[in-house]
Amino acid sequence: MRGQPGELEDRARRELPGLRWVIAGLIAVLVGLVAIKVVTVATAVLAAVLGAVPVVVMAWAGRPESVRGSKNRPSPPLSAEKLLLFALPPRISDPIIGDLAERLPLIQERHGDRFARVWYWRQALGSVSRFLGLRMTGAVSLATLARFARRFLPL
Amino acid sequence: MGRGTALGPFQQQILYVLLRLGERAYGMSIWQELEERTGEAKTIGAVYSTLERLERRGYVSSRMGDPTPERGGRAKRYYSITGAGAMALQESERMVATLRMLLPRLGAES
Repeated sequence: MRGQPGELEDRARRELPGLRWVIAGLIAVLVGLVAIKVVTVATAVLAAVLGAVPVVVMAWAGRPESVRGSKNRPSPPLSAEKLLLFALPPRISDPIIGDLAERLPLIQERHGDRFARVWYWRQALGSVSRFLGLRMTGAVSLATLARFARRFLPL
Repeated sequence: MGRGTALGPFQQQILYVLLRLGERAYGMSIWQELEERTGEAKTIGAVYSTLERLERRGYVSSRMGDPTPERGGRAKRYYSITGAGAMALQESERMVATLRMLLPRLGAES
């Protein structure tokens, strides 16, 4: 049977004329899903990279205190907060930002302003990378699905 | 024990902390408790992503609290262990105990 692929193809084309369109539709949906995942992951990576820029600038410039903060109640770094809001799922970003805001004064009191900012950035980037990992796991499973499709669909 | 009910070490730690903290369990309190008891410095994101996984599996449930000024007007998300979560934890303990019982026998054989 393996030596007559043309015959099989002709027979399939005669008996199931709509099959190719169904397969093409499935592939189009699959490609669409993969594209959405790729865009999501790429956006999160870009946000993480852009978010890291102020850390480098702050470390280089040695800024003495947060622009928005005060001695009594320090404000979290604005860019880090935006990064969290942008990159994390909405149901998680609010509690995480609140938790970090709650802990930040204690860190600042114990270790100083600069350490507190670095700590906040470390938490923000660590959190984003964790959730990015979860999203990439989803992307990997889509890739696995695509491999299965290529292997088992008669294309 | 089905493959789907297996818990990782960090998942187990979080479920124990949820049992210990009861109604006071939210992101920061869970994180602090873990840091104090285990001495490991994880990020807050590691705690939340694990809680998300556990919630997706039905082992943990969550509800939003009220926003407070000391949190910059952000609300807490409170977590609690479900019946399925408690059972999964018991099952993990049982599995570890079973495996531990094999150790002297393995030692005697070698």
